[in-house]
Amino acid sequence: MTSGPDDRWDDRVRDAYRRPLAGEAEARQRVLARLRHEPGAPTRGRGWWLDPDALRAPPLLAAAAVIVALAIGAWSGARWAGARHDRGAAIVAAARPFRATPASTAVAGPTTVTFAFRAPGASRVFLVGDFNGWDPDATPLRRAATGEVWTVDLPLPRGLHAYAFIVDGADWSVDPSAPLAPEATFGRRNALLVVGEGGAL
Amino acid sequence: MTDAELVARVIAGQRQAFAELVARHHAACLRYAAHALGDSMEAEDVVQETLLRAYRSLGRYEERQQFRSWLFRILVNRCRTAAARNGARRRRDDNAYAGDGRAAGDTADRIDLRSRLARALAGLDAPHREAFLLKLGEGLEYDEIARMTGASVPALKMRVKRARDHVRARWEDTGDERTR
Repeated sequence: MTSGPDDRWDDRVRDAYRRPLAGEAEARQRVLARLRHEPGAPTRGRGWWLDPDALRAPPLLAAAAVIVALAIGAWSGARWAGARHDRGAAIVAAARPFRATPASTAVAGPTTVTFAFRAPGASRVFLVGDFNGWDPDATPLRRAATGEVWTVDLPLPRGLHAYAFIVDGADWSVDPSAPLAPEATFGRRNALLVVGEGGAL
Repeated sequence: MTDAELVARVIAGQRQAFAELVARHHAACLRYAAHALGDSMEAEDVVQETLLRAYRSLGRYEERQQFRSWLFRILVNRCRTAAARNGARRRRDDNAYAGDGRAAGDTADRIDLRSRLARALAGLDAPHREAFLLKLGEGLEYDEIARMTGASVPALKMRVKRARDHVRARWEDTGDERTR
């Protein structure tokens, strides 16, 4: 098979495209470091909502699904807001350095949990857990008036939850007073919390 | 060991096997994202997010698929999202990733070729750029690209042809005497 000018040009472009980028190794290490934050190994049948195959649908079907989801979301939100108002505000015990406190377990359904974290010198604190997909940007804590304790209220379904705090985007901190999940292969541990059936562990 | 075997190990609880998959595919993902987005910092973020999503949804991976194709499908979607998010505030014809390489101690030749390609890609819209990079850069088959992008094979062939004409004209405008 002969190689014409077009093929030679394609080869040069491919060569330019495939030149390694500076900092690839460091970027790969940062990916592995981020993976260490992931809880547990994936299992068959999990994660379908992230599967690109599952997200591909005809436009009309997708639009209908979005409308239905919004309607369900609005109805659920209204119900949750009403229930939360009935239960009252969560109470934070700031004396403990780290804490996840269910505000109420008396009502079936989601339970509002107050997560509190004492970090006097921090500028940003985020909560990560199985309930927010371990997204480090999804759930910020707010600094309390004392300036030392950071809190956030979160409605959680009944069951076992793993969680941790990320301070200033880097420090992965767990609640020392809570039971810890088994150590993950990627090297991180997380605190465990049971919602419902008697409250936190 | 094949990618599918590594995936099976991860599913079986050997999480460290995913590190090997990262080692095998991270560079290719970063390369594609850098050329697709024209920004190495953003490319790193997108690739990191892609690999995290792949890890979390690994349970849905089927062995009959090539892992690389499956991963690239996620990557292409993430790049589309990032490009749409930033399209209003970023001009595509910067050569940020060539500049990044310079700052990080890249070689002059590497910078030269990459920046030339960046300039040649400038002005291509996302669908044409995507098709061009997957076909000429990654060397994928049209059927494979069609499954990744959702576009038909004839449409992809047309996009690649137009993109190729565009890139070649601009490439030669940059003064690469070896292509003349």
